[in-house]
Amino acid sequence: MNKNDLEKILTEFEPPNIKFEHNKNKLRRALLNSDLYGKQSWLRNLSPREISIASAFSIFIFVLISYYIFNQNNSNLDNILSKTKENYAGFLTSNKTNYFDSDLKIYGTENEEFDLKVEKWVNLKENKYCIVLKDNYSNEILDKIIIRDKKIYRMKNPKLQALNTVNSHQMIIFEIADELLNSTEFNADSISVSIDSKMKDKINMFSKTGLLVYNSGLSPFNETYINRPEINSMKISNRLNLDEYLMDNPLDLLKELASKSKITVSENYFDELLGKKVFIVQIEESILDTLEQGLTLKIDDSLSRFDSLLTNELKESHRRYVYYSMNLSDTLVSIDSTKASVPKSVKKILIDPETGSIEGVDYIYQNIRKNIKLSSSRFTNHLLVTKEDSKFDPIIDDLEYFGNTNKIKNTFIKKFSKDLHENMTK
Amino acid sequence: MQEFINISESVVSEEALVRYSNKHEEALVERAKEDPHAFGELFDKYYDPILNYIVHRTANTALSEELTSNTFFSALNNIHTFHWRNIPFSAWLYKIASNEINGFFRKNKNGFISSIEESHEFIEDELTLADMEIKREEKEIAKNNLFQELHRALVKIKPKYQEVIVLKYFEKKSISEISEITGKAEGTIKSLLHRGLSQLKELIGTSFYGEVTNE
Repeated sequence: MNKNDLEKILTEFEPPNIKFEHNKNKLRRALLNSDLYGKQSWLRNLSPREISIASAFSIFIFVLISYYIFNQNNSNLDNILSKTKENYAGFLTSNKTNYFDSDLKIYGTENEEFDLKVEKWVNLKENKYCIVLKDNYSNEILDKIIIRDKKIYRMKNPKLQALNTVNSHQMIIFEIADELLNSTEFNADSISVSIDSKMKDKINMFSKTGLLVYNSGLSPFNETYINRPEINSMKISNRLNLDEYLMDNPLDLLKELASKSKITVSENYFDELLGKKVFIVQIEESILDTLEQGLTLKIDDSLSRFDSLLTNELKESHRRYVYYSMNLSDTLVSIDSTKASVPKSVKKILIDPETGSIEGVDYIYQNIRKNIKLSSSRFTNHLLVTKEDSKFDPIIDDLEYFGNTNKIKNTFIKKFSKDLHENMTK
Repeated sequence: MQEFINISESVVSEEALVRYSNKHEEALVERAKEDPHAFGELFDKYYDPILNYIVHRTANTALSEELTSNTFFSALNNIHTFHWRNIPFSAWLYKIASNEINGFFRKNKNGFISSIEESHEFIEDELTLADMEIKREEKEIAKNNLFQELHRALVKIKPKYQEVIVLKYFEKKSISEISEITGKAEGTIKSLLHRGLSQLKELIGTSFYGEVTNE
């Protein structure tokens, strides 16, 4: 065949013409409801001169704040360095766990002894703990600390105290878009979460260790996943006026909702960790077993028992970890089937659906982060986990790279189906 | 003479129509910078062409759906930077789509699999409407033998050649339109097409020609 033949074939060639009506509508809704609109519009209206002035002013403010913080840190450092040995010993005695013996000490680089207020010890895994500091200390101070026991990691961010409270559970996390919560649809007297038979199976799988997590955080794709069929099967109807309730104090509302059903609601464990309002809701197995058409959460005056129940549950720390996620569609994709699982060694990984960055783990698992690559598909928001080095601490030893989003979904489910089956039947 | 005048008027009228259409689109793009509904109009108009362009480049429906999403999100995010300089909005969208595709190819030099090479293993029970749509179209593509043959060869040549060949022969764009989309001179486009076709011809070989003519 010569080039002209090929050109003739190509010229006459009619390539496939595909149509995506559903995907198109879905994307259209996402685009038109995107919060990209309105962003930076005021900036665009500024003249170059005005932008220059604003930039100069910002730099000035930044320098001013930096100067202030620098001085503040120095003064904190002086205070800390002047603390006595007795104070330090006091906190150690009162906070140590059985795991640590009394020989554990924290020293400064020049044998100064620090009195850092400790919020709690957090069990990371097995023999590894981290210290959650009560207050924020500058890196300058923290860098002076030598932890002689290598089994202890130093946390840079005290927000991670939340990790300890969730590390033993598989969860379904779902997110309700703020815009939906704000909409006029939320005017009725109760909330119902309907779970169809298909959904029931999914949730049933997690009834032993399962938790539902409510998350009212923001997402750029709210409308999109709320309109997905799988989300629609978990409808929220007859809602309260959530403007008043949920936005200001969602925990109170959830407590009310939980009281009438056999559902427990946690304290706000995730709030600090994610910077978002996230709650854990646990569904009792007995409900799931009898659940047919739907599960209804209704308001009741009596608010009781959830605190202790959940706390006790969470105290039973296992080595199985929640691994992600930020919205329901993700979770259903990855933990949805009766076969899917979180591998027992997977740590908690929370992915920001917009940036693909990991939240919550970067402070502690810096070593891990060097060795894995996490990203999320921007629109479909699936999980991608890349294992780049097999030699690191086997916290995520079962993960491997998956190509595109559909392959992730299917490979992920297949990959861990065996794990889940084994874990759940033990 | 009368016939000549009519033809001339017809030409003028067509040019005027194009000018009017461009003016209309220019106004629409300006409105779309602030008004979601205006962007919606642009989206409705260009979703299918962009989607199909990406499908023709990647032959992967699921990936195309995602890259199309990325393209329009990127367009939305950057539409305020778009200034009308007699280059159609569609050319700008094609350019974004090309960047998305090329970026994907760069990141997945070894790992990219088209639908043709390996069908996605969907779990039937778990399919969403969106998944079903992707699967349905994937099957349609799989039936198109000529497209499969061409695409298998296309993915083996450099993306810069793929881009112009697909735009020219699959999207039926003129050289000047391809020039607008790629930002390259028309002479360069012709040269790329020439080299791309030569490479494609070597890859395809005679057996392909035989199969095609027998169809």
